[in-house]
Amino acid sequence: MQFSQMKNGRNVRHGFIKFPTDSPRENLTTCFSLPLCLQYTKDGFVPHLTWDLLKHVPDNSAPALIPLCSMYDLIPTLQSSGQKLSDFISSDFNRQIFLTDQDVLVKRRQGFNSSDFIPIWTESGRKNIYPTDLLNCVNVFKPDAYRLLADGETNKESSNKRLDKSVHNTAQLTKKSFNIEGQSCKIKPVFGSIVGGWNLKQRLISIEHLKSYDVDGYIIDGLLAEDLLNESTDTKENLNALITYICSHLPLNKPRALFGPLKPERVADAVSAGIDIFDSSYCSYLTSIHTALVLQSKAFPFEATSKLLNLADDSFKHDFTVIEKDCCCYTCFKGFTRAYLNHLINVKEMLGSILINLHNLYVYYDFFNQISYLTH
Amino acid sequence: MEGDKALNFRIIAKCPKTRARSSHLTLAATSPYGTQTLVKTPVFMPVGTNGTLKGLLPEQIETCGCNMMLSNTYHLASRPGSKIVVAAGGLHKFMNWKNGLLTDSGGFQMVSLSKLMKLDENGVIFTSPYDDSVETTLTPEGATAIQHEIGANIIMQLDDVISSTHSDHDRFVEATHRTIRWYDRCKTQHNGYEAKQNLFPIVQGGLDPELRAFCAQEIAARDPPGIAIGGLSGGECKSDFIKMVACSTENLPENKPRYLMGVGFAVDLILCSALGVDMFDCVYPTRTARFGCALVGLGIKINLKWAVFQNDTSVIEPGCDCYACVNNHKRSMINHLLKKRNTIACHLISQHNVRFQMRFMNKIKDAIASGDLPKLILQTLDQHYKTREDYPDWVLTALEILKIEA
Repeated sequence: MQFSQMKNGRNVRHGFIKFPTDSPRENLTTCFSLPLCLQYTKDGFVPHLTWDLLKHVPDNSAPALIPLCSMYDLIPTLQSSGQKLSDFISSDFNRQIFLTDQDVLVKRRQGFNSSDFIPIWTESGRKNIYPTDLLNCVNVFKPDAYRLLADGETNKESSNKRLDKSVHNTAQLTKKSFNIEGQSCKIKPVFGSIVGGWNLKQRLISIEHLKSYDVDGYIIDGLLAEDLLNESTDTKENLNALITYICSHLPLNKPRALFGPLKPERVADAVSAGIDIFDSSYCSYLTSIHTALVLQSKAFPFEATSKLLNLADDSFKHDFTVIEKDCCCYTCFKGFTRAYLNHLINVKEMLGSILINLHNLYVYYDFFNQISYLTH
Repeated sequence: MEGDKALNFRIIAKCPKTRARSSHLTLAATSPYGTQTLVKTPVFMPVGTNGTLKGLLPEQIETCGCNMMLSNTYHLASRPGSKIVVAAGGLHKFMNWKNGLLTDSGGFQMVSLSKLMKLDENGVIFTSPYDDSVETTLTPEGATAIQHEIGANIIMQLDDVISSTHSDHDRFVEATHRTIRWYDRCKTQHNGYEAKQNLFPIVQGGLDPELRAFCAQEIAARDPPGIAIGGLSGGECKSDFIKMVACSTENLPENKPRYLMGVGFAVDLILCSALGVDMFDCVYPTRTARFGCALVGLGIKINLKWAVFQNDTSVIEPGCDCYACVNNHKRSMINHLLKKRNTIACHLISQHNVRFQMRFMNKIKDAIASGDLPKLILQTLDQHYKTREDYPDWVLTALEILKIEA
């Protein structure tokens, strides 16, 4: 994996990241400028969208973030077909894959983590994934990057004891991952996870532990969706301080990722704090609550403020304007009105989610492109 | 378009052996948003009940080769309400669909979904399924006016719908005569709209051939732009159904499009096309897609939820040119999505099934032109029934009427 970064006048990291590929497909994009936003997926697809519709989203064919829990049941099928996952999904998938274990938008049951395995929930119930299992999955799916197992199931209320456990479990899981007989994590690139919840001391221990392993990048784990979405000023400031603190202790020459639903303002903060890789789960989260994202002062992404429109609201029943005037997304550009979207939501028609997600993804990726343009 | 007509019907080929014909049906634009649409018949029209075809974008529907679809007046009038559709600039603009649209009168859903309170010469009174306390009266004039507001290219008269299995013959006679009277009232209401929208009357007559023939002739005498065959697909035995289709088309003028409501299975489509029907609609291809069922071959249904497809890496139907098949969406991947209850499975199968219907109708059109329709009928039947001994009675009845030797 190639990674190049430097700081610009605003003291913001910029550069590019290139995931290696063993089977170069024609037109496959492999080099991405920072910050990079991965396409969040469920079961191999961006929620509600077939892959052809992503042509309406300016994501530059960003790699897909694929959670193992949503694809685990496909392993026997893939093994018998002999195809790698990116060739299996569909011929218009045509992008790289970043494999993680958990779905950042799914709230999980607590209390099943250990220093030997992590639990994932599949169609056939709970499966305990050991480091060797992950390696097997990586051998079958052949992702372009993946992350090591970690216990990041901590929220703001987690006790010190739980945080301690999470750091310990993650350290053990990392160690075991690197000691698998004959394999020793030669499959690259691999990302390690920093855990420790909202406790700076625990975070430091987690960082120090990970530094002794040859990982290609870092994921700031241990923050759940509910905390990332928390709107209180207190949480926002703490989150910013936490990320800044963690990044200041990480080596400069390796990419840092933060996955989960982050509103554009948080993304801007996180970029300033030193995060390089994100994902688009915020769009799917908004779409699931029938909400459209509108960004104000787009030309200045670091000062942008987001406004949310809940299209299920009765006030849109007679509103024949598009979500956002002058927006170039498919939904607005084609003239689908707020009234029509409100109707589709009311009658529970699937097209509503398709059109809202297309809008949200357009706005989100446009925002990333603005940041990247500004920082280069 | 000719003069002040909203519809032009030109037969371009006639089957030498059956009553089938293929035609060019041209529909005028009903609003600045719509465009003139050339529909090639026999045509299957998918049903977008709520002003959207189950998870497909308008451009995806077009990619399926479809330029004519149906929407339900009853549903649109309930939600979002016809006033909102008018304020939006009509249904074409509201749903972003510039091609052909057909709306039903709402009469059928009124009977199937509502609590019917009273029916008399004036109209029908029913209660809303969303709110029991609200009583609505639907008159022929009202049903027509709502459809003017929605603005579809083809609209339907309000008919006196009764179940075809009703046992009281006098009630059928009454319904048939009333349907004709209601057509006249709808037609009066339609005055001034003829250059934009086409009002189709409906042939009723239950299962009585004489009553049907009478109704067909009465209606044809009023020179409508096209005619629907109604009062069927309501639980009658299939033999009665096919006899009544045959009897209806026999008594309808050659030079008008004929629309058989609520028919969408492959065997029904091909046999009714052979009997001279030009237009069909049914929720079947998109509804069955939501249950994981895909249509292949000449209308065979496969359920992609079945375990046999779990490791099947072929596409839904090899050789199919739909979006899902062309882009190598494998049966095993769709099986996985169905197990996960992911709506993408539905989007993929719906696109395949709508495309399947269009391809099947294209085969019928080609066979009409080449004179091979009887051959295609037998091929289709071969796929649906193991041996010729397994043909059900109604199919034998149809073959007999069509003088095709099994």
